[in-house]
Amino acid sequence: MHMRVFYLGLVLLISSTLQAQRVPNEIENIDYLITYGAQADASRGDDDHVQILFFSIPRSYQSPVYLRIYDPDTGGLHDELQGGANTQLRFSVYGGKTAFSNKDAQKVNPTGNYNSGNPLASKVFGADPKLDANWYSFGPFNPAQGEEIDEMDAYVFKLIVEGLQGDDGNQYRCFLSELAGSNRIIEGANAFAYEYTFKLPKAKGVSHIYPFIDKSVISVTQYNFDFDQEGDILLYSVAKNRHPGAASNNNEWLKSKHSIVDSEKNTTLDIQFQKIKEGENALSFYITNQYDEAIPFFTIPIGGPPKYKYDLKVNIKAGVKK
Amino acid sequence: MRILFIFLSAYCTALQAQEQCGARQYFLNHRECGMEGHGARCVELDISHSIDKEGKSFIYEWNFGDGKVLSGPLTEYCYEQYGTYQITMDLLDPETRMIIRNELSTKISLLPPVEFATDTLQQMTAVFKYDPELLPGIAVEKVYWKIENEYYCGEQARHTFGQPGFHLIEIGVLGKTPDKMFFNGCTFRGAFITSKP
Repeated sequence: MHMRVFYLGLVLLISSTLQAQRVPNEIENIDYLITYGAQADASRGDDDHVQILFFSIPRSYQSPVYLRIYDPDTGGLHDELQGGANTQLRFSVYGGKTAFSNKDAQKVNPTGNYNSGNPLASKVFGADPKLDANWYSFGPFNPAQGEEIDEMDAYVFKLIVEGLQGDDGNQYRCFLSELAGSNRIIEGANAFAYEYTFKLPKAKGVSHIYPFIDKSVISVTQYNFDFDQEGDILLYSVAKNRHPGAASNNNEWLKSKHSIVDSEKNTTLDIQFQKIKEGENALSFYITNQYDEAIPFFTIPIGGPPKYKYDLKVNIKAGVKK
Repeated sequence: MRILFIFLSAYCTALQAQEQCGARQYFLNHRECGMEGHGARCVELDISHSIDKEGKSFIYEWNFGDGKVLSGPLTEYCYEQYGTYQITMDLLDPETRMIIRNELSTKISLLPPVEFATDTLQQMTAVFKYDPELLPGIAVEKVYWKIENEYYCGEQARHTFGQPGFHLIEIGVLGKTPDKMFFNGCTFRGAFITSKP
């Protein structure tokens, strides 16, 4: 735990100039996170009907912050309805001691004291035309209401989204903002998660998740649920040129283990979801280290997206090839 | 032992002189002053040593910047014309037919051939004097010489050749153009040493 906090602190320092408050972020090429109602079948792509996100704010930032949710309602546009809209989700914001540092909060399954910390705000959303394709703002919060993490030099807030009832899928985005009525980035703030349940874009293309690999990692295991074999899951880094990972079929978890070489330590890994079919698809994903500890991934890759290092030899010659 | 010391001392002094006069640094900074690349229109591209065997199989497709496209981790192409070209490499996934664009890129400059005069010499040691006619109109301020990987500064360079045969003499010039603009250019001269004395 101590080690994990330490390296989070390190990477947040490195990323202090990045602006990563939209979750999911454009660079991930993921349009929406999705959480299903408690009665939705897992085969829709959500294994546990719970999403946990963390937002860090530099200690030097002292103005109020808002956690804004786009399309928090469960009906109308951007949501995955199963018949009539009958779903309710609860969005809860936590701060204070143990909101982040409690180990249960960093697990991939919502068990134990995952909702640790002080509850700061909570609201249950159902179908609501006023919030359909619109924003709802939690806050204002004093940054000091988050959990103070010395190693990160930051305050950390936790957002838990829980599917309470119903069988629809609620698609939404989050934005950590300086303002209540619009999205304004907070310099040096960041967002991260230990598991994502998300919607791939309808079109063919490549989506990304960017875990940061610290120096203690010697292997990673990627787990994916309900990818429906819509393409490939590839691991890409400074030393891996798209290593194929196991890609799950409908309603199943699949995993694959991959070794980490020295040149990949303290760099970001790019988990690429190559979708080769058009259409709707939601899935869940997480990645662990050799100790089965979940590795956080960041909405903006630390140090930028990795680039595989080719050894290109260019030889200019007078000769003409026969 | 004394002879060796004197030799080493002289060698070090010569090296120091080269460093101080800046000729070595000049040619390091201006690799285009060498003959390399002049008169060549073919380029070989090779990434075969960095193929990740555990990675997905791709077709490596090179776009040579003049409309030509060739495939393979090792490829060669000869341009029709000299010039500067931006070469990019795309990856084609033969299974999914997805294309990853601009995976790699590099810029090359193919310089036209340079004509230069060659002096035929019968002695191994010669003094070369900068000829203003090599760069007409340039008010020369500094001249750098590179002969057989030895470096000299000034309008004259005295060099003892190690081998008979043809030697290329690279000459770098800093100066002013007739309209008082800064000039930095290179030229060449050849020396053909007929035999050892």
